[in-house]
Amino acid sequence: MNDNRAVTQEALDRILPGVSRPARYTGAEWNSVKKDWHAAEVRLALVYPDLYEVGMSNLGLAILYELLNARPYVLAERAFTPWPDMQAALTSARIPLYSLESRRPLSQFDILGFSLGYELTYTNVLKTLELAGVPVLASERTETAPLVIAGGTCVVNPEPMADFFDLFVIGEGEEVTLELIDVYRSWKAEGVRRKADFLKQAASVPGIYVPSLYKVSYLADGTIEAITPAVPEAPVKVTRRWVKKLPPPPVRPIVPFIEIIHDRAAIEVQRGCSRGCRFCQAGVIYRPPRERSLEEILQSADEILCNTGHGDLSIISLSSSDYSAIAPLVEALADQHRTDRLAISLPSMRMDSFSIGLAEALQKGKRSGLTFAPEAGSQRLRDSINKIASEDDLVQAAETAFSRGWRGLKLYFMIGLPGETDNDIQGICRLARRVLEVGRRCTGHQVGLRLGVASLIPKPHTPFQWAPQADHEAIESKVRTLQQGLRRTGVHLSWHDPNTSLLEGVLSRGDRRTGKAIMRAWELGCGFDAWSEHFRFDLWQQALAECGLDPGFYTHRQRSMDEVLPWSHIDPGVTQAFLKREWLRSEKGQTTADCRLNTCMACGYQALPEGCEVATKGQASSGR
Amino acid sequence: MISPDHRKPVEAGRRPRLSSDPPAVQRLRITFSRGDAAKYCSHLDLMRLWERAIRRAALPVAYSEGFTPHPRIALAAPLPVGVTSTAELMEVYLRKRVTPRFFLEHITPQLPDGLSIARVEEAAIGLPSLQSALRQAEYRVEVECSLSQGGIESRIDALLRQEHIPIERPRPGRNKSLDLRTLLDKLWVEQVKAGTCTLGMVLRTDSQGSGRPEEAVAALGLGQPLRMERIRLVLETS
Repeated sequence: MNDNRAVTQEALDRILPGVSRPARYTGAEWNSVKKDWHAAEVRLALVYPDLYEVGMSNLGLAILYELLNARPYVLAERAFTPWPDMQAALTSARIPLYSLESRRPLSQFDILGFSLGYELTYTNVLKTLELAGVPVLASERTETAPLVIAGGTCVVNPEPMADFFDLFVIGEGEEVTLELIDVYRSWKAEGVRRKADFLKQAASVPGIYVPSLYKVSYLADGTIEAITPAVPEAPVKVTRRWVKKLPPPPVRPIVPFIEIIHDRAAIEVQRGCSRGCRFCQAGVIYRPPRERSLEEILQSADEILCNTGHGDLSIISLSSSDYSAIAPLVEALADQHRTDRLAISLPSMRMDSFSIGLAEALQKGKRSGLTFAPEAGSQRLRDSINKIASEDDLVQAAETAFSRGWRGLKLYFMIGLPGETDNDIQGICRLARRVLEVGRRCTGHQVGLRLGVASLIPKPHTPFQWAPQADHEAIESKVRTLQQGLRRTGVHLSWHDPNTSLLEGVLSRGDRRTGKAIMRAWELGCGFDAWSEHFRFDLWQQALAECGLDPGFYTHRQRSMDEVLPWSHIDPGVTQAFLKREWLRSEKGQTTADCRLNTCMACGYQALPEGCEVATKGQASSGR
Repeated sequence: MISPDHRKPVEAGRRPRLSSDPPAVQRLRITFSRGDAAKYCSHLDLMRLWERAIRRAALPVAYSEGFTPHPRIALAAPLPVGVTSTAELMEVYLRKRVTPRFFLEHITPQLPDGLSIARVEEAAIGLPSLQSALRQAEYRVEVECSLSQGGIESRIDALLRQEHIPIERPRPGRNKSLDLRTLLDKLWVEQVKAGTCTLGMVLRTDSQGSGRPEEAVAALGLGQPLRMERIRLVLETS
C-alpha cells in the first residue's frame, strides 16, 4: 500500500467484517469534521490511547477537536487504540493505523497529540505508535516523522513517558495548544525544518515541557539529585497552564454510531474544586475553581441537545452538587425539556451538598444509581484526608435519598490511607450498617447498598505525594476485614485489584527510568493494562526486573520532604509550602476548610498575577 | 484512586409517559438506503441514530408508555453488519400530524453520511406492524470467483435441488443448527466478469427466521463476499 494515500473503503471492507464492533473504525459520525487535507497548514491527529468507546467519552478530546477545527488553517482528526482483534487485522493486512476522518495514515500528520488521562494506557501509546509505523522513541524519530506530543492529567508527572514524547503540554489545553500550533505553523512555513529548532522555540512557550532539553542526575540511593535545563530556552520550572475564564463549551460534539461509555451530552458547569481533599490530584491540578454562569450553561446545554439529539445530559464537574446554582440549574433544565423527556445525571456529588431541593429537582420518574464518597470509615481518618463530611452528613443524605424514592445507594471508600488502623476499616462496615438501617427505617424494606473500595495511590502534586502506598498484603488483609465485617448484611462489596493499583502507583510516581520498563512491557506484549482481561502483571514484573527497577522504591517508600521528586520541575500552581503544610496537618489530623465557604487556604493561586476568583471574592466579603 | 469520570452517574431518569401526553395520531413509512459510511453499525446503533436524528429535527415523535418511554420507531428487519441497502423500511409514529414532505425536509439535513431517504409515505395507523408483514428480502452479492457463468449456475442448480442444507450459525455460547434450504427462496447469477461474480438471491425473512446472504455464498463453495447489498424487502400485501 502507498503510505501517502488514504486507506480505501475496499481495504477496510476486507478486514472490518471480521472484527468486533467495526463501527469503531469507520468515522463519518454526526458532527465529525472532515476538512480539506491539502488546504490545511497544520494537520494534527488527536490520539486517545484506549478504545474508541473510552476515548470518545472524554470531554477534553471534544473540547480540543472543536477548538482546533474552528481555526481555518488547522485540521484536527481522531484516532484511538484499536482493540487487539483489529490490531491483528491491520498488521496482517499491512494497513497502517489511520485517522477516522480522512483515513490517512497517522504517519502523514504533522503532529500526533496524545491524551494521557490514565497511567494504565501508557503501553497503548507505544502500541499505537507502532501500528502507525512511527518509532516509539523520540530519539529515534527522524525529521520527517510527526511530532509526538501529549497532554492530559497524567502529564503533571511527565517523566515516565519522557522518552517517547517530543514535548508535553502541561495543564489546561485551550490556550496553550493554539499557541503551540502557531509556533509550529510559522516554523513549518520557514521551509528549513529542523525539529531541534522547533523544540527550542516550543520550550519557551509557557506550559510546554520538552524533556530532551533537561538532564536528570541521580544520587547513590537512587533518588534524584537534580533536574536541570540543558539549554537557555528551557525554563527551570514549567508552569501548569490554566484559563482565567472558561471558554464557551463545545456545542457540536460528535455523536458516535455505537454506544460509548458516557453515551450522553455533557456540559462542564465548573472546573476545579475548592474542597482540598488531600488524596485528590484533580482537586489540585484543576485549581482554581471557576464556574460558568447559569445562563451560559442553559444556553449551551440547549445548543448541545439541538446539535446532537441526545436525550440524556450529564452535568460535569469534579463535584457537581457544589455548583452554586445546582438546584435551580437542574430544575430549569428539567422544565425547559419537559416535552422531549431529557434525563439529567450528576456523575459526582458530595453528600454534604446533596440537598432536599436537589433530590426533588432530580426526582423525575426513574431513580437509580446515587453515589456518595465518604472515603474513610472514621471521623478521625476523614479529617486526616480532609474529606470534611460527617457521619451525620451521610446519614442525612441517605435519609433524603431513601425518603424520596431511591431504593439503593453506592458508597465509595479508600483503603490504605496514611495512618489508617483496623478500627477505621471496621468503621466502614459500621457506616454501611447504619445506612442500611436508615434505608429500612425510611422505606420499610431492605435497601440495596454497594461499596466500592479503592486503594489509595498517592499522586504527584498532592499532599500525599510523599506518602507510602500500602502494599499488597496490607490491602488484602483490609479487604478480608471488610468481607468479614459485612457478612450477612447483603452489602455488595467490590475492590480494586491490588496488582493494578501497584502498577498505577509505579507509573504515577515514577521517574525517567520507569520509561525503560514501560517500553520493555510493551515489547513483552502488554497493552490495554486497564482492562483486567488483558492485564499481565507477570509480564510487568518481568519488565521492571529486567530494567533493574524495584516497584517498592516508587510506591511503598516514605519519601523525605527534601527529596527532589521526579515532577519537581513541574509547577502545578499550588506551592510546595502548601502541600507540605497540608501533609503535616494531615499527620496531626487537622482539617483545612473549603476556601469557597471560609477563608482562603493560601494554596498559591491567591498570589498569582492572574488571581483567583475565590480568593478575590473572599477578600471582598471579609472587607465588608 | 477512582477518578470522578469512572463513577457511575446518578440518573434522574426520564419521566414516565403521562396520561396527558397525546397518543400517536399518524404513522409514516420511510424507505431509506444505507451506504458504506453507515453499514458497520448494528441494528441497535441504527435505532439510536434515528432517535437522535428525529430529536435534532424536532419532529413530534410519539413515545411508548411505561417508565422508560422510547420514541415509537420500528424497523422492518435488522440489516446484517457490513451490508449496504437501498431498500430499508422504517415506520415512525407521531403525536402530531405532519405532511410526509415536511417530515422528509426536516429529517434529511439531520442525517449523517451513509443514510438517505428515498420516500416517506403515510401508512394506516391500524395496519399490522412492519416486522409482522415482512416475508422476504432480496440481496445482490459480489464475490471473488474464477468460475464461468455456467459453472456457477450448475452449482446453484445442485444446491437448490437439495432437500435440506444443514448449516451452523456461530453464536456466543453454542452454535445454532439451521436448514438453509428453508430460508433460500431464489438464487441466480446476475453477472460474471473478470474474476468476480454477482449473485442475486431472495431469502426468507420473517418471524420464523431469516437467511443471511453470506451463508448462501458459503453453501455454494465460494469465498468471502466482496460486497453485499439488500435491494428489496417484500411485505405481505393482504
